[in-house]
Amino acid sequence: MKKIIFTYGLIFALLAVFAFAGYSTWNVLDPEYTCAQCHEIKPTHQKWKNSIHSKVACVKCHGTAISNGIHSVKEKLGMVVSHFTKDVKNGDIKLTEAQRLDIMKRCANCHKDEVAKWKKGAHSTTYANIFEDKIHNSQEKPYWDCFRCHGMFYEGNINTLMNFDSDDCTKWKIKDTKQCQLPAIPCMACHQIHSEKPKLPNFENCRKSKTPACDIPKTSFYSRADKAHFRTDMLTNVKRYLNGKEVKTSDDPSSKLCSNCHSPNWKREVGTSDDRTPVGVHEGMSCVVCHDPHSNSASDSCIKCHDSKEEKYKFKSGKCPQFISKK
Amino acid sequence: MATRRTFIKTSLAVSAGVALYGCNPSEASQQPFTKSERDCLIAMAEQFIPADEEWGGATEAGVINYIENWVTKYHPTSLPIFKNGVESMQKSAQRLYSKNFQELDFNTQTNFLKQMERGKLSREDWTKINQQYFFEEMLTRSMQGFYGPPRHGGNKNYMSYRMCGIDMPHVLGQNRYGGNA
Amino acid sequence: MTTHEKVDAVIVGAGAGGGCVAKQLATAGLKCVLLERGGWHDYEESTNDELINQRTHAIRSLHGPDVAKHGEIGRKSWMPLTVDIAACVGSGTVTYGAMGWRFMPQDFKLKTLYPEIKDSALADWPITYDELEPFYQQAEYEVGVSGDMSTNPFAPPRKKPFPMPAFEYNREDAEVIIPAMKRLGFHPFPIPMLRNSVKYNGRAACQRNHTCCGYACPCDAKNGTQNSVIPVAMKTGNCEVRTNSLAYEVVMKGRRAIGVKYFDDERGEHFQPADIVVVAANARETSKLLFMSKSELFPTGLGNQNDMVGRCINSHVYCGAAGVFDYDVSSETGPGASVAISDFNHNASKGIFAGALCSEFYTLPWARSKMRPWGAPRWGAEHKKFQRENYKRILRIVGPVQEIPMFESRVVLDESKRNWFGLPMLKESGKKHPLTVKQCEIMTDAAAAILREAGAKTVWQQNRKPNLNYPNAGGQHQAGTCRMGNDPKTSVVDSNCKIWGTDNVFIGDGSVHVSNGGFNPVLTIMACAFRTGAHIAKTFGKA
Repeated sequence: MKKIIFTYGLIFALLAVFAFAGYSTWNVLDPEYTCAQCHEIKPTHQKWKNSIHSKVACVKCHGTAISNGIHSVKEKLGMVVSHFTKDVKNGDIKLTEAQRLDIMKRCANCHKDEVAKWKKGAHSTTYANIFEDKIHNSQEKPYWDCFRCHGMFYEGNINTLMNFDSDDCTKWKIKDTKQCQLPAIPCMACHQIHSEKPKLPNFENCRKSKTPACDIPKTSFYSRADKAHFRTDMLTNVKRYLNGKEVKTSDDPSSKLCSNCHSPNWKREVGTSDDRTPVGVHEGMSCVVCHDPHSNSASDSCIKCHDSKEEKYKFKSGKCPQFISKK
Repeated sequence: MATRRTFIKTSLAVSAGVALYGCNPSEASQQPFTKSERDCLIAMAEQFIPADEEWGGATEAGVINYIENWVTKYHPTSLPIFKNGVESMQKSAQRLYSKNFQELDFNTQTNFLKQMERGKLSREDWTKINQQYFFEEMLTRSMQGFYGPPRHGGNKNYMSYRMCGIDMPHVLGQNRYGGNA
Repeated sequence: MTTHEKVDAVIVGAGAGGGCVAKQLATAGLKCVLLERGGWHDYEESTNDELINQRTHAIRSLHGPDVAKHGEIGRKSWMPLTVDIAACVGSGTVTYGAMGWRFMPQDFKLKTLYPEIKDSALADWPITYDELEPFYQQAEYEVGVSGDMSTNPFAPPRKKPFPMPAFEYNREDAEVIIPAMKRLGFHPFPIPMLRNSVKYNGRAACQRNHTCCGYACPCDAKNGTQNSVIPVAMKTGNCEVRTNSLAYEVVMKGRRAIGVKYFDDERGEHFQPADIVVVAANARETSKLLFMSKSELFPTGLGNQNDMVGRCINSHVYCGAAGVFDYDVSSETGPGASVAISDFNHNASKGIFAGALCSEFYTLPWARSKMRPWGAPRWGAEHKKFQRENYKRILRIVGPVQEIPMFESRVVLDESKRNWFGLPMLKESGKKHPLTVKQCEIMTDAAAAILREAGAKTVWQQNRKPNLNYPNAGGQHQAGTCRMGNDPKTSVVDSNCKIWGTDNVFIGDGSVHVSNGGFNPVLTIMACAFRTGAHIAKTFGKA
């Protein structure tokens, strides 16, 4: 009897060791040998391999089947089940908002500075700030189009997010209080983690070719309508006008990204609505010449180019604002 | 390499006890067309919307992805149209040039399609499907793939939108400041 | 069969007509159930996608009925007949271009005004414009129309101004098209729109989105019944909107209807008993429901005792012209259509009653890829070059030409073809009247003349000669299958839209139109529905 218990015990222990070893190996291996053997995530894996984050192992951002307790076990098991029961295609795989925010926490592990700056800036705003803004709501009832720039990863529509039952617009509230404090413009609003390795921008090239293949920006615009990210150099730079005359605008991809939300009215008039297109002596400059991309602060912007110690408006020697359109 | 893979798979089977071994590494399950069929359709689409010095064509825009979505997701019953169409295309191309359509040079392909558009290819090769019907079907799908929104598989990186100079996503400011109000 | 609790009224179809009837009944204290074969539309599902919207149906329409269920089984074409109309709460009013026209007083007495037109089913309406005017006004105020008719000398008289100011003209219309129209002696004016030019009814002002006509509105500034009258009806607590419910029979007991049978989404059968039945399922589907509602008194279908149901279907032929300019003429302001002329409506000198001509809605690249002058390549490098160079250089002027109603233009049941529910499909027959074609010629010529005068270098006409042998169109403007009249022999409903020979069955959609006007018909559908609803509330109401 003892012998039998011993034998089974040994087998069990060995199995456990194997299981642990197998599982650990599984987690550290290149997914080409593990997850990406299954067709659904092959294209995603390929993208990741070519991305700036190709040195970061999958599990660092996506976690393992046990890194988040029962929650992740459930999540990963769900994937296995749908792999065998449904015809899942790569295009069908979408991260949930919770997953995106979870990954965002891991961005902060490496990009401490950027995240700290983002927290200081206006883009770390929350759902409550945006959708329970009494002044805004007194002017206009929130609608789908809000999600274009705020809460772009929210899973639902404006009526599942908000309670509009009251006739008094100041009482319109977000239904789920847990949603209130979530960031409304997280990292992935402007960045795609699996995007191609950025290449140094060469804007001379950009202007010559209409398909700037050589310059890959760090930013991507998440289009809620398309449920996909688009490289910001692929966005259209819309014409904008001041007193009926077209204004020079920067071809800088970052600037095009900004103007997708900081956009003018439908007449495309500079300075209307959220548009902040620079005019006058600063015409044609990119937003990021003055604004920090993460904190959005423009506090040091003047002394970047102008020498405050010397005469007014005199440029620092050798300094010239980047990304000025020479159209 | 093989041994390493085998080892992993074995350890997996032991550890998880899940039949992941059954994973088929090939993408065959979601590929409606064979490589030759696919190449033929790609060549056709590229003829309809060819690349030029400034802008990519149907191939670069991923029109074939749209067509694959069409026959797998949107209208699975239409798969035979494409299968039979390509089969007949190749018969005609073989009869005329002893080559598959995709192997012909660009101008020969153009002439071939012009014949097909007017229904002038040999009827013997088109017993399963009408050549003009297939031509129109493929023309419509190619245009949809190139000029339609990228979420259906084609129009990669908004290529046609950029070519037309339109802003999609639409660049529009917050309404509350704008409008006539 | 699930039998539901009896209500005062059951209304079939939650579109332009059904929504307005529901509002009238619910506010008068009548308990009603509004049946809709579709669901509530969510902008998230279809967004601004050119291939899955009502405008193109390229892949399918997410605002329309599920083709797999409602379309004919085994049909190969992607857009089966009878499912090209919308199916969701609000129906077509969710995605329409939202032109909110009134018909002209002359449109209500075509027979009297044009006695010389032979071989047609032209008839006078049993009601006049003046009788409908208060309800036009109600529709304009309760659903919401922006407009200004001060520069339209042909405008129908109105007792109250529009509730919202007119939209401004698009830059290209203001600078290019309107001067050309004026030089040619026409009288341009802003198109009345069922969109908010200013904040109205608790919803936002219009954002000038490109994707308007054929698409739902991302900022809820387009006024349909789903965001105006239906919520009002629901708020009274008297109106229940029951979605995914496809009515298949009005159950009759002698002259009285006792309720409606319908399928739920899983083909489960339900019976909703009611004292009043209002059918507002659109011209084709209403006749289909009446055909399927056979009873002792009505063996060939409800209201079909004189073989009139399904006859005289008529709609509009959309015709006009497109022109290519040699500079970027388009300001790309959505929705694109901003100016109209009404000079051809009841134009005595030309002997036609035709329709309005309007600048056309903005189109996205796929639709544009089919827009080419005659003879231009349909594919290849030249085709692509044309698209690239001329995307912002094409303007179009089109308009709805009234089809002359014909007795032979008819929909009937096709028992040989069935859908997933096991219900028969419809087929249509008949041909067009020669005057319909003549009107198209005059209108397309005028549109082309305007574009040439405006400076277009290449101009081509669209639908100049529609095929005479094709049936009247149907489509999204379909009307007339259950026409209104004073004589039960030549009409299906009386002037209150009650089906002849019944005590309590009404029709609340475009089927009752005797003729369809030279304009988009939605405001007239709403006005008639408000009028019918008011009549029902007065006759049956508890207040």
